[in-house]
Amino acid sequence: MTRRARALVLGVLCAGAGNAHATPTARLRHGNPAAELARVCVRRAGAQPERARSWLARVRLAAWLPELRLGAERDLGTREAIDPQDRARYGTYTLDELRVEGRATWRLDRLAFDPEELRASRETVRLAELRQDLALTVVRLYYERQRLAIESQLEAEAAPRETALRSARIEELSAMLEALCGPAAREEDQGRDQ
Amino acid sequence: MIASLTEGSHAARADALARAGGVLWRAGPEMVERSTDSGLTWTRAARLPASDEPADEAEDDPERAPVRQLAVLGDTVLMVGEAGLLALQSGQLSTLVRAPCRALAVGGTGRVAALCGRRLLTSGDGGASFQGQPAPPGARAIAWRGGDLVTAPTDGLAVTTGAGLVRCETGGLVDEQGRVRLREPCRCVRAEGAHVVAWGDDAAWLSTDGGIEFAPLPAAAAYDVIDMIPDGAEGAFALTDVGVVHLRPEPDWDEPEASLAGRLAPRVELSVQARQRAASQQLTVLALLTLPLDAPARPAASRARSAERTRTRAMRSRAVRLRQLARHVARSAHKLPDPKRRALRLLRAQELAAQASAVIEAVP
Repeated sequence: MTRRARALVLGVLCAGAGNAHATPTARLRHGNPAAELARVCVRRAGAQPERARSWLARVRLAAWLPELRLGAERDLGTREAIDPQDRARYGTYTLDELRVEGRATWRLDRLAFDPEELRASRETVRLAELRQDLALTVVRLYYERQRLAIESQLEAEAAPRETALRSARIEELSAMLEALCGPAAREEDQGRDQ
Repeated sequence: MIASLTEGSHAARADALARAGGVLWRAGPEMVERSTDSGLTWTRAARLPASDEPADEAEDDPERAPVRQLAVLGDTVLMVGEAGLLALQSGQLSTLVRAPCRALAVGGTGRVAALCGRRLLTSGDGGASFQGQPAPPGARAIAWRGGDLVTAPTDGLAVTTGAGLVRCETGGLVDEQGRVRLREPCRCVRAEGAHVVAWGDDAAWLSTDGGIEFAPLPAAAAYDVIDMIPDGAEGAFALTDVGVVHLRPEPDWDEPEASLAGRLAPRVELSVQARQRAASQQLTVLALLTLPLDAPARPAASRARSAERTRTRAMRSRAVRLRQLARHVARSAHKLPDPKRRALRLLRAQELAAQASAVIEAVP
């Protein structure tokens, strides 16, 4: 069994084995590490619920902001005055005209309803599903690793092949958690090792 | 954590939560921590004195919990428990009373009271000195009302701005006149200004009008709540077996139909045009009001809201089921004679509790 697997076994057995009122580890006293790791992963993925709330808030705020259009036009050249009857030329003017235009449009009807709200609402539900899938995956991986670690301890007499396969799976699960949650998973793992 | 899943009494958990402005404090059996980001991250503020007794016994016995209650008075964090009455000020932890205490109350202008053993200790100078008197028989909770100290034989007692003194009884939250303010079995109640939070084994409620009307905090059903504190706005922070979480009342799904004035809100267009020639200048201002007479797409909006609501309730239902299952598995684990099988069963209970938290926290 690898050092990491042994450390996991010790951590888990401290937390759960022994008598019915077993001592939780210091790390477990303030919450469930898997639940806390899942929260970190969700934030790392940018799938936290605050994001969806901010979309809806922005849609509502947007109705107060105008749509701005700015334009500028400059005419340069000459203009001649010609009699259409005899084609006589009366004069020539130089043209230098600047036109600046600004237009602001407030769509106050969007205070009552903005079609963007529908899209934001749909995305909110999608984000919630993503969040749920991610958090449940983290919890599943975390506890599979813990279970394997306990089983390794329970079956001290297991065949070397079995033990090696378990250790490999524990390493694999640790790597998967680290890929999902980044440094937080590694810190959690190292915390157990200590 | 595992102990909390298996205990019958949630009050046995030795953790407590307090809030001072934007800073959250939590105390456990070993340390006091603070958070400035609504409980996302915690930093250690002090290590609590180690108990001479085995941690299991101290944690499982509600009367001997290392920390039972936590309160903030100015810049001092006060806590009571098996170690007595402790104060944390500028990172320094000091023991004010060296006797096991079970209840704590703080009031404005430095008033502190603690129920320690069979004595009721009061201080008017922030804990610098205490006067003692015999505690009323059966007193379990204390609260300051103005300059008077009130005691109660139950754990839930609070002084609210709207309903006055309220306490948790079997029939619900009752005020001094005997009126039931919340007809649900509650275990504890805490008040901060006009915000009052009450909670029981499977539910929690929040009042923002001083305890007159309560709204449920539905996500509480997916947790084992140890302690709660109003967040001062629209929800409450809860210390649970899976960490500190923020609970909010259910959003108002049934938005009222927009009024005619709202539906006829115009589109306002303002145009400014400036023209400059060699010998002349011109400025044109044009304002246009467009009134949309067609109704907004209500059916589509209702459908979207309905989908969101259905999804929310389905997820909440799943989370509550997982939490119930976690409790059942933890209880059944204790019947197993083999300690190793019991460890695996308890691990499964922990996993189910973590799944419940993952699902409820994913709610849109």
